[in-house]
Amino acid sequence: MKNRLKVLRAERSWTQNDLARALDVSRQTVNAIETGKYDPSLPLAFKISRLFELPIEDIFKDKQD
Amino acid sequence: MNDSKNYTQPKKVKMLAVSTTIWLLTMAVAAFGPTLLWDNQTSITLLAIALNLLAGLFVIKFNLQHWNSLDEMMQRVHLNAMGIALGLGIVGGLSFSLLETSDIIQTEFDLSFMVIIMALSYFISTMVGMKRLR
Repeated sequence: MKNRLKVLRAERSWTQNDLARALDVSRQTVNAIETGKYDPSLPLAFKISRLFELPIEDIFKDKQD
Repeated sequence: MNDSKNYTQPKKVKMLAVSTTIWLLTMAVAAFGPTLLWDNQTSITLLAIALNLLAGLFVIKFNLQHWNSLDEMMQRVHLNAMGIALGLGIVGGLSFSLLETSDIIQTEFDLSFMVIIMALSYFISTMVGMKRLR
């Protein structure tokens, strides 16, 4: 799954640590999501969606799309 | 903003480490005490085993607390490692047992072999899982 997390974070001038803190996960998890090594659970995806005030499908894209 | 959640929460890890150390010590006392300390008195041996069991229950409790304190990615890493460790322990242990019952090998099967296999496979799987997601 591809995602725009890195771009959205950069637009807000947040560090990975800032985002991790807001999502209550480790910085390593944020990094793994950004690099596409780890796909977040649905609850975490919704949390990300709420944080950026964007629909999930605007943040995460299926690789086949 | 403050620091993000750590991979592991130090206090939970400390509790797990302390309880595991106590459990290992009670295990050593229960294993070597009958011959070295109290001359095979059954009541004291039973007490030592009961203490070891109690300490083991605390290890399980603190292990669960530690696991629940991890974030979802680390929980997945540990879950995969647990699956591999359990699988290898059962498969490896049973294969070893078959080799022994078929008289192909002469070494007597010891439960500690299985514990060592499971512990090493758990450790290696966790390290590999963490490296993959780094």
